[in-house]
Amino acid sequence: MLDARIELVLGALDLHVELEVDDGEIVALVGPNGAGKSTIVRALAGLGPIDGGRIVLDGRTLDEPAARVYVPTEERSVGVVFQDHLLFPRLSALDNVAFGLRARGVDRGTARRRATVLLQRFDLDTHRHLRPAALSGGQAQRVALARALAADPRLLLLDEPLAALDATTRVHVRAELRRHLATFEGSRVLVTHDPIDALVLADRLVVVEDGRVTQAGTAAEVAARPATSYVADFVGINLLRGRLVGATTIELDSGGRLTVAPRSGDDGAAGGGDVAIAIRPQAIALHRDRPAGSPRNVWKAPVADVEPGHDRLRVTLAGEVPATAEITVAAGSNLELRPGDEIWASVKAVDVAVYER
Amino acid sequence: MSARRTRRPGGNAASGARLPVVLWPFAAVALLFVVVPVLALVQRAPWSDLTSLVTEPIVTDALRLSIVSASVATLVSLVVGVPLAWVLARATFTGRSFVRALVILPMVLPPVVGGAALLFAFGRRGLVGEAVYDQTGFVLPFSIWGVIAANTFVAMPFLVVTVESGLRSVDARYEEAAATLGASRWMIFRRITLPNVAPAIVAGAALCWARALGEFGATVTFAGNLQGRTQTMPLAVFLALESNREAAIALSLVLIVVSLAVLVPLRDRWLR
Repeated sequence: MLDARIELVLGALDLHVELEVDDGEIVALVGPNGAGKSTIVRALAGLGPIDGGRIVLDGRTLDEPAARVYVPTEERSVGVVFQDHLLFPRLSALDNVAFGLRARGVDRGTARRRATVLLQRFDLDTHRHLRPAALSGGQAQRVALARALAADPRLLLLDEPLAALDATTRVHVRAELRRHLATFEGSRVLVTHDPIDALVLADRLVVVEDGRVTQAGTAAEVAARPATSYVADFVGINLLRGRLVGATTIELDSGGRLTVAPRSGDDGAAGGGDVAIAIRPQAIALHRDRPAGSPRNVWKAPVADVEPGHDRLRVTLAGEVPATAEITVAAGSNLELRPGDEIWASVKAVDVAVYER
Repeated sequence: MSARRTRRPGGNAASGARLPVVLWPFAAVALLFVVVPVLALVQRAPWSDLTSLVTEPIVTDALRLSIVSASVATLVSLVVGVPLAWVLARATFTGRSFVRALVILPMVLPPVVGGAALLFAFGRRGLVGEAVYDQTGFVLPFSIWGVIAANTFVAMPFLVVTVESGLRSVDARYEEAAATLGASRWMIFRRITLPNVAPAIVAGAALCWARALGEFGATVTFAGNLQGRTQTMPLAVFLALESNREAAIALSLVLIVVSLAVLVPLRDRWLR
């Protein structure tokens, strides 16, 4: 279990954050750029100094400036998955994973054997002799995760683990990451600025803005009462539940059907499984007349509510696909929306994110 | 696309590089400035006597001494210069910019001044040399060790500067990643840092060796000019210019051939 109070000043950033993560819990650290998320990760890993506070992992104090306690990075039981993975370019996937075991004094043969077992678990057996440059983004991400987990850390830190991937790979890798993270028993902290990552992967959200925790709680708790406009935007994403009835078709519990982009490989959601889908409000377009052309999903929806934001309108749609759309004020005034109106809504298949539930 | 547009300025069709035409004459002047003196040397070479000239003891002694002392000086520079480069690139301490300037001082100092400074430090009556002589009877100047010391003094900055800039350009986050995996600082240096700067180390060592091979001023001041003991190629060339011009040219050609033999294979691969 992690129990941390981090105080530090770094340039314009004045950080003052408390963070508790239970064993087996995944906490998503979310917040806008420059809020201090990565600085927190560096402090937890011992890569950057803190000015005050205390970092305790499983009862062992790792950092407490007031008591002159500082455990260096290499002696902390902390694994890190970096945003761009930072796999050692000259080592094979296998030797990357074995590195941490070798560093902790395990002999070469044993380290390689244990790394091989780990790579098998991550379905990377056939890639174990490849160098990082020869791996795909998703494979590199799994190697990075396997490398971080190899030495059995008590705390796993993931700094924007999906940010380096393109949109289609992301959906697939996110589902994989969720499955693999579930097998780890220590505390996990996931840094992300992507609402879907946070909602899909984490048990609890901790929102950091400008160096302070502005809100913490489960996704449902935070969504029910967003404390700041950042949080409101962050959790304002449409989450729907349904069932996969074909390779690319989802039947929503609310009755509608949505087409999603075909996914590469197995993410555990294929074949009639229960799924959740997420659609960003900005991805839903509204039209007076039935739109022609590319969007794969078009449906007619009654307008339940129109709420002005500071430069955009949030339009709540009822019906078979209950969702909120966010459109520009200009687009809204062209549409002359009023509650009770019937309107056409559309969303591209690639903008519908799917994950198993 | 018209025929006019497909013609590549500068005629560098193979690489497709589009160089401003105006740069070519300037580049040609620079190149000629290096090539013409070398050609002049070659043109004056006593080709018929060349074999007997370059096998004379004065030549072979000087060549052996030059290669051995330049190589040992490079080894010494590697052993202490790479750690120095690491300290300058990674450590933070007060007065670092002063130390960085100090390190490159031998590059701008006239080598004769360097040789004199070495004498005052390591000569028999020098700051350090006197104590060493009193304790052990060892005298650094006017021996092959003196040649090596003079070479190291003048050439090591080339290695330090190259490796330091190499260290600054590699991504230090790989070292952080290794630390999160439990690697000790020594293991990180050995397994991550060194392989990452290997190209800079090779490049720096080549420059260092080449500079040591051509070293004249500090050597003649600190180690003297004793054939077979401290007379390196440049010293032998300088001496021969007075007495035996043809021997001087032969020596120079040997020096050019040896230098090119080392630099050509390294130039494209490591010295970018």
